[in-house]
Amino acid sequence: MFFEVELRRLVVVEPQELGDELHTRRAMIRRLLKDFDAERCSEEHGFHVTVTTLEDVSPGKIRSGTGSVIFWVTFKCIVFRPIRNEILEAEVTDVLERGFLAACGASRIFVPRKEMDGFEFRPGASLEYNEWHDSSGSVIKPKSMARLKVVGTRWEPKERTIMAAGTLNGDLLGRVFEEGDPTFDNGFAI
Amino acid sequence: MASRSGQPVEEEDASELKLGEDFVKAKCLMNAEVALVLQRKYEQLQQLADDPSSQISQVFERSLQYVRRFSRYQNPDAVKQVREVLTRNQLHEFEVCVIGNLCPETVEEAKALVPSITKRGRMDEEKIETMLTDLATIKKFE
Repeated sequence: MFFEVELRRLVVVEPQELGDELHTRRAMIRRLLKDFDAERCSEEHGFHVTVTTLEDVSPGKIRSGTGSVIFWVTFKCIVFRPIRNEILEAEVTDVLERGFLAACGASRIFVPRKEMDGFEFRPGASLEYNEWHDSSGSVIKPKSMARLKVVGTRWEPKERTIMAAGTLNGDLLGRVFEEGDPTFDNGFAI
Repeated sequence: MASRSGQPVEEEDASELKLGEDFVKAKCLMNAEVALVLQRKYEQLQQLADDPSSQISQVFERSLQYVRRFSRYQNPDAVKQVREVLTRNQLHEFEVCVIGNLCPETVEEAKALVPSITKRGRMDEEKIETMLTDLATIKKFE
């Protein structure tokens, strides 16, 4: 799910970036955006998509020694975080014998084979041609859309990312057809 | 909340609308709403820089690709109307967005995709039906 949250961060403006009020403010904003993107993902809020509005900026404080100026900035931003038991749609990226991986924005969700009742693995000549088929004709293959339920999420401190696990077992979950797909049939394949 | 220091935190549960303390005051956004925001920002960046890709993060890029593909509505007015319809039915922010993202067509589908709407007797079948009909109308005339 995408959320808009309010965060507070310390922003440091280096001495060489300082100038008149407007100039310093611009440097501060540039710094904030850069730091926000660099942080990429947090355990609490998930993936950092984009800053939306500045809510408050403290008066600048000079750091003795370096001459840089620090600001406490409160801002709103869009983040993405998969929530346990949330049902969402994702794009299949990798089809493996042990299951498949799907992408939901910057987040990756793994669906293991035991969470894919009724599906059979069909290996292809190479990874991009691997597929999972079920008896009704649904095919899970790279670039297809799948509707799944998130069963759990885990923070990976080393990669600074959130890994999620999902399931296709459940009502209305499985392969999703898009309009324009030649096999489109009034909605979704169950 | 994701597991902290290796300890799984069980209280997070979308079906019970337990989103964790980090999202108590957060606004949820539908894919279609995020698409409008990110598309606008992307266009602004293209005007400012020679190479917009150097300004956008991988998370931004992947998010933009995702919401472009998974938005149910393209027209900004339609998106606003969808949020209005869903909000006036006193749904929780989270429920509003899941319904806006997945577009259930029947009452049964809505209950399966967003189980929390039936909890605590919040919405009866008739209300859900009317709401879904309103959404289908918005989609039709988008």
